[in-house]
Amino acid sequence: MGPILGLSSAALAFVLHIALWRVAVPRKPYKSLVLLWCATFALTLGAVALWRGWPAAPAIIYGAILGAALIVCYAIVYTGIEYDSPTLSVASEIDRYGEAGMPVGEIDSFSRQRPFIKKRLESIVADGIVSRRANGTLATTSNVGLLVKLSVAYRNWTGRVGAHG
Amino acid sequence: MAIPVEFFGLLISGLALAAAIASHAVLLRFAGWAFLKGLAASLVVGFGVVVVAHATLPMFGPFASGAGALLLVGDCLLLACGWFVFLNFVVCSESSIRVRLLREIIAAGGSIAEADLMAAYNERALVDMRLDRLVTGGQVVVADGRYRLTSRPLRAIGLLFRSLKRLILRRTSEFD
Repeated sequence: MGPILGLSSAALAFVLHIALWRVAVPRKPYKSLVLLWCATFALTLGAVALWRGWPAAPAIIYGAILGAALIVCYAIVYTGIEYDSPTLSVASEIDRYGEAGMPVGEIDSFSRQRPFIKKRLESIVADGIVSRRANGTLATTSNVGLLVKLSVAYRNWTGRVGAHG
Repeated sequence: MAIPVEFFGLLISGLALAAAIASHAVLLRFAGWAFLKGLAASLVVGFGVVVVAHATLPMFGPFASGAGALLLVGDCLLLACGWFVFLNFVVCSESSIRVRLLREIIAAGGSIAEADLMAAYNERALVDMRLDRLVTGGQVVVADGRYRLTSRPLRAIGLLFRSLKRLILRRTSEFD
């Protein structure tokens, strides 16, 4: 029963998320995704309780962990839906020209029309991870640096030292 | 009091994930494996741990039983989710724009003039870097002064994400 609870709550949350987002995208989409899943988990649990009686606690715990894990993974995928991947954008733009191919010079205009970095900077300022001071400097505000350092440390330890961008 | 089988499932999924991560680290560091090959191998190691545990440990039901199969699927999904988070954790240090911005600010001692940051990391440099990777990787070829996309997987992934953007957000680009 645990896997069924987890899978069905996540699937229901996904379907409802598509329907709701098409009406209006929430200002805090990730928080909304989590809250939506909590609601669908409660709904699924209630439905199972009505159908087959209240599940045992271990099954509920297992279902909650599985459902939460699936929603976390979808939230990661959602970052790719909300924001454009520069690599995919470049590839898709080139593909748009088909067999004729994209003239090399067109990359200039492509870059100008897609301010990836400016938008990401604005998002981390809006999220409060970085603050913009009156004198035009940017400063980190939280301990998110630890995750960044861990990721870079793992990369260096496994020998993945190279150009980043 | 008997320990519920679901808790064993969670434990096995956790151990499988730990084995996957450890195998990735070891393969890259000591065997010199390529990054993607190491990732694929780590996922195989993780699934192997889950399947072997389910096949050999007495507390899990036989695969043929409904409950046994369901728990096996659940444990595989848990492993896959954990592995996906690990994948993104490792990749983000290489290709995440936000992480690069944070690294630049941290490297400057925690604060940096915005103009200096934009000079070090700007739109054209980013696009050039990504394009270089595509050309070096063979996904894009340059001939007669033109770029052409040759990678079918990349074309398919691009189409998938454009479709998801259109379905969920009703636009195909954040710049629309």
